[in-house]
Formats: sequence, structure tokens, C-alpha cells
Amino acid sequence: METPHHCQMCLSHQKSTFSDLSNDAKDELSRLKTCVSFRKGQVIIHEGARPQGVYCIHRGKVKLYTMGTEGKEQIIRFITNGELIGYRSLLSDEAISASATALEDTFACYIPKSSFFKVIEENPKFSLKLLKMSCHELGEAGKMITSLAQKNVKERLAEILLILRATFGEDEEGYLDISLTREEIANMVGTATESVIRLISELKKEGYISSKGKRIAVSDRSALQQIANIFE
Amino acid sequence: MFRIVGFNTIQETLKALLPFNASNLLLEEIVMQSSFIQFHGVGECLFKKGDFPLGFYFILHGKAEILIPGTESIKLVSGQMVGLDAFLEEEKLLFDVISSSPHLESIFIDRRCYEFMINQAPFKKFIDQSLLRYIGAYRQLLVPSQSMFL
Repeated sequence: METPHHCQMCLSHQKSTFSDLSNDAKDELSRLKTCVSFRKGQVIIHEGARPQGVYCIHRGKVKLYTMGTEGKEQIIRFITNGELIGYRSLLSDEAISASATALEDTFACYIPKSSFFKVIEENPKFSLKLLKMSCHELGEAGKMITSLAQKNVKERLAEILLILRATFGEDEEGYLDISLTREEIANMVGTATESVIRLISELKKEGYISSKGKRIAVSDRSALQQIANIFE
Repeated sequence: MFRIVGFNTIQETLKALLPFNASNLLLEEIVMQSSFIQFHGVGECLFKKGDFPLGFYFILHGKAEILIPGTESIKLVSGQMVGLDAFLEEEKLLFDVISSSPHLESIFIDRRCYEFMINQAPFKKFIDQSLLRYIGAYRQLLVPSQSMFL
């Protein structure tokens, strides 16, 4: 797949964090960037490394996770077209706090620290946007902690399915447009794979979801919202 | 300058740097499990003193330096590993490690990838040799009376 040389020509440009930047700023980002392709399952970044730049996802789906004790993954969130990886650790001058792995063949642009910082320094609106993103992620992390602490496994699974639907949408057959193993869903819910398999069957029997192999479709969104205790 | 880096580029670079003939299957697995990390300036930080090493770097291209205050720095080049000693000891990094070339490319090897590597005999030997080189480099920085203990 062709990766555009210039950010302006990127298919994910409208969705990108960099979309509001001036052409000069985009020139600066494009000047030193490297495009890296990742195979499905390939690690993009490891917890503990200190990359001196950020990845902007051009096309693909990425899971962000930390390794718990005994090597068990806890999926924090997913990243898709136009989103950034590694900007918070770069700003805070800390090592990366979560690993990222490609869930499908992924293309990402690596923007070195020098270009990224120059754009931040010269574009106050962009700095504010980054600050908003960071605050939003902090809020989401807070919600996740509450969910893990206070909700039961079924409530959390229902919530995760709704989050996946909101993040990735549905394919033409109505299934969630992301292919996750039951183990990955369990790693996101924060439970054992067996529990997730049992609860997915339960939700299926109740008619709230349907599934075909690894694929899952949300059949009754409002019922899932009720189970997850989410009120709009 | 705009560049494109793919899976095969990393795999071929790694193959060329290893002192033994690693199978493509083995190399593929290592590239899948490690992460490709690049640095774009002299002085950029690979590790900071006090970092807990959750992995170590294998330099594919470029140079790095371990900055030891009050003495010469230890210079590392492509084919060498950065932070391996601290990683194996599970101790915090004692010194800053920076890139000393305008462009440095590396792979970061975490514990899962390391466990996979040391189960392959040629890699285990290579890692042991790298560790001995490390000890040798540290020893050279000491006066003779100190070096006999290392």
C-alpha cells in the first residue's frame, strides 16, 4: 500500500490530530517523517522504551496494553486512523507506559521529536488540542478504573462491546469492524477467557448480540446499555 | 528526508548484523515480537539513569554512548546491545545512554522476546558474548587495582 509522502495527501488527514495545522506546519511534519509498515501481530512499541518521536496511524488498528504480573495483558484502548501513539511520554519525558501491537496490517508515520516539538511551539491551537486529548484520555482512564472496580464482568463486557462499536463501527453485515480473539476481549474486560466465552453465549441466548466465528454483532444496543449501566 | 521502513528491511538488517546464520523463521519471530525504534539526533535519550529496564535495545544502524560521569563514555555501534546488563540484573539503569550519531535505528527487545531468543542456542551464545563484551568495556574504565574485581 502506498503511504503518502506529505501529510496533506494522507487519507486519514481529516481524522488526524494534525488536520487543523497550516500547510507550513504540515511541511515540517512531512520533512523528517519515516513511514513504517507493521504486519498483523507485530509490536509497534514496547512499554519501557524511550522513542524520541510519535507515531501517527495512517491506516490500521492497534491495541494499547500493559503487561500485568504473570505476563497477562490488560488492554487499555484501541487506536485507529489519524490517532497518535507515544505523545504523552514524549511530552512528559518518560519511558512509554503501555505497549502497542498491530491488530491488522498497519501503516504509521513516525514523526521525530524535533519536528513535533517545533509544531507544538509554533501552534498554540495545536498545543491546546493535545492538552484536550491528554485530558480526555485521563478521563477515560478514570472511567475504566471505576468500571473495573465497581462493575461485574457481564456489565464490563457489555460496556466493552459498546465501546468497540463506537470506536470501529460495523461492517456491511452488521458485525463489529474489528477482529478480536476471545482472549483479547477478556484482556480488555479484565477477566479470564473462559468467563468471556460463557458470557458471550449468555448475551447471545438473550438476543442482545449475535456472533459468527470471531465476529460479534450488537443486536440490541439499548439492552446492552442497560446491562452496562450506561445512561445517555 | 522521507523514508519507508518495512518488515523485510528490519529483518534483512538484523540478519546482516548477526554473527551466525539465523533462519528466516527465527528472524521473523524476533521482528514480530520486538519494536523498531529510531532516533533522529545526537544526544537523544535511549535510557535515562534510574529507568527500570523492561527491555534492551539492539542497534541496527548508528552509534550510542553510555555516559559515565568523570570518565570516558562507553561507545556502542551497530550489532551491539544497549541496557542488556541492567535488564538481566533487573536493576535500574546506572547511567544515561544517548545516541551519538545523527541517525540511530534499533529494535527494542522486551522480556517476552528475550525469553524466545535465549531458547535458541546461537542467540544465547551471542547474548552471552555481548554481556562479556560489556564487562570488558566497564573493566577498561577502571584502574588496575579495581579491575581485578570485575
